[in-house]
Amino acid sequence: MSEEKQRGIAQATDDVRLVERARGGDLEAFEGLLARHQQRVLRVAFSILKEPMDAEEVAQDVFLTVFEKIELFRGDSSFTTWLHRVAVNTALMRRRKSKTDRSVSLDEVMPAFNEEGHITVDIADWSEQASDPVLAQEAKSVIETAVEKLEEKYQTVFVLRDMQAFSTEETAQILELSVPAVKSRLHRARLFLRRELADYFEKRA
Amino acid sequence: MESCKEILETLAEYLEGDLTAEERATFERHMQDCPPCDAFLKTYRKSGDLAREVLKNREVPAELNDRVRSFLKARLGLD
Repeated sequence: MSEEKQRGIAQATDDVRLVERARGGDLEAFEGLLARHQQRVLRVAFSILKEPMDAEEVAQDVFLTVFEKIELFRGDSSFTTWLHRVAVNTALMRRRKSKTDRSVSLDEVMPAFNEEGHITVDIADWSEQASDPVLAQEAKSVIETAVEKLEEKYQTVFVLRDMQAFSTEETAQILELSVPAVKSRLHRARLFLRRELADYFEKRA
Repeated sequence: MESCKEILETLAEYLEGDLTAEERATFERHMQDCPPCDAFLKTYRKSGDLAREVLKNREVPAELNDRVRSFLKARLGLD
């Protein structure tokens, strides 16, 4: 068993104990859950909202909701999954209220093919260039902007998988999606980032 | 030989390790013989690597953590 998986199981077991005690009104157990999960929840909220004040309020709401409803937690998913589902939904609700969707279409993220399905244009390989420390720094800022442009359903998958390092399965549970749907959204999002980076490197050339 | 379109449609499955051994061999053969597809694969991979680095290093302002903690402790009567 991988170390990561072992850690996951150990964490889930600790969560189960803490949740049981919290249900019985044990305040220390609430504090334990807060200490274990607060930072990650805040990072999720901050990644989705970008505004520190909004992220702060969302994280507060999330824990208050979860602690008030701890009786309703059925234990058929892990506490982490449940908590982050509430966090993502609360952050998205806040974002929809405060922001007009500026997301861009993911059309044309694949190269142009001819009738036989072959690529007819040159595709520049800038993967080595992107390893150059100076260019990598610029490329990262292109990525920051590109992630902002992603439609909400792609961005949330990205935040959970790549930033919070949840597994594909955990991301699927948190977002209540199938595993293939998570993989497909992540792939579409990466295709979009590749295109944005390709535009950047082509303009430099 | 499979078309570029057919091959690139299996790109995600290839990287996830979801292709059969035969499909994988076909994919890799195509990449050896097709510079545009090979460049597409390399730049796709690089984009993913850079994105992970960017996202991992995104920091939440430290004072936010403290404020959330203090608020919740007070609200829950944990002090």
